[in-house]
Amino acid sequence: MSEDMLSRIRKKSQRISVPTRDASLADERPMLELAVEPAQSSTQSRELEVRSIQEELDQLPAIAPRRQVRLESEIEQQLLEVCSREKVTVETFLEAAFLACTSNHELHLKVLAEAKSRLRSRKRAGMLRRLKTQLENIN
Amino acid sequence: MLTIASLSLSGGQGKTSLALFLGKKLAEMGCQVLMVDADPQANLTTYLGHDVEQNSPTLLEVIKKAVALEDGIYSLSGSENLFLIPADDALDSIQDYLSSSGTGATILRRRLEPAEGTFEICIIDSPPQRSQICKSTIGAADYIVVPAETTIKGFGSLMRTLDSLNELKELRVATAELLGVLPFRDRWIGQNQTSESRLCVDAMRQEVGADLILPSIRESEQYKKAITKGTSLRELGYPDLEYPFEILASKITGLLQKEKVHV
Repeated sequence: MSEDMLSRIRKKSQRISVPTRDASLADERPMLELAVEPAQSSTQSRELEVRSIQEELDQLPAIAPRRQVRLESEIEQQLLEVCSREKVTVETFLEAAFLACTSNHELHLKVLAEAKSRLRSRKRAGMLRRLKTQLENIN
Repeated sequence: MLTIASLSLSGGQGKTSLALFLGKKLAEMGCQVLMVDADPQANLTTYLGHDVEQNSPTLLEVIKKAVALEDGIYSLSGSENLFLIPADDALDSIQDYLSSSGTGATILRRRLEPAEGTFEICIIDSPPQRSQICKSTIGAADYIVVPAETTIKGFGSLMRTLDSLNELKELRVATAELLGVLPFRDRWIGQNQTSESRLCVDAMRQEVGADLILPSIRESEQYKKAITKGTSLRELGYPDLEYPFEILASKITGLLQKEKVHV
């Protein structure tokens, strides 16, 4: 054990000076704040709150209408497990994955290649199912 | 030096309380203990009664290598064996430095190396988020103790924390072992544990194994009183409430002994 270091720490009356630390939020994106005006009545106060919440909502991105998405069963299960474990939704995961692709050309190409391969398999599966139905109808 | 991180990825799980009471217990037992406040909320710094001066070094400057490690360590009044690297709000700004370094997970470990041979134990109070500072804390630790409230939130926090630990170990930027899970705010009514607490502790036990479940911290105002007054639970007249920390401290001193034998 280094008693020297401990002694020096205990005796430090003159400590080295460092530049003043900046803990301000000035560099951060401006935080959305609710209006804090004093309300005349509870009705006015509620109206103010509703208005300011609407303002906040107006600044958020619009969400497209619901779309039905059909996935390969095993992948759907894995995706749902991942989303459940990481506490995100399938929608937000897909949005994030898409954005990750758009900012990484190599990844974008890799994902596209995989998507095209899957589409070919799906089309082939669709054709086989149609053929099977036609054969069964003949019989 | 054995480095122990008090780690939970949700707030309010007892990280700082664990770090504080454990550090004090080990110091009381005669160990030279270095406390590291790695949480920008700086509660550990406050609870240890240290006032951070604007132009005095904190963990921020230690990590950035703006000062030598020694200049960021402060002795504490009331204990010959307890020392602190403090934090304040500004520690938040270290995130960019850590992520742009490319080796953020190992930086804190490297910065603490000069303390080897001076301190026997280092206890790090980790922040309650999956942040760069948190990764660096995990990377610095030899052992992790996870306090977790005996609620669904607490169990979820335990799961997320263990996932993060395993993730970093798989990436080979951390080697920390789980030393124990400390059930926190375990609710008892008289001699009976509440159903929720019992179910959550059982779930924790199933998750990590009975050996790693430490005696729980019961829900009690006395912990807060001890923190506010800067005294021990024993001094407040509640020595039994120190039991979980006594057990954990024994585990740690046992590991220290093993380390000395191998050296």
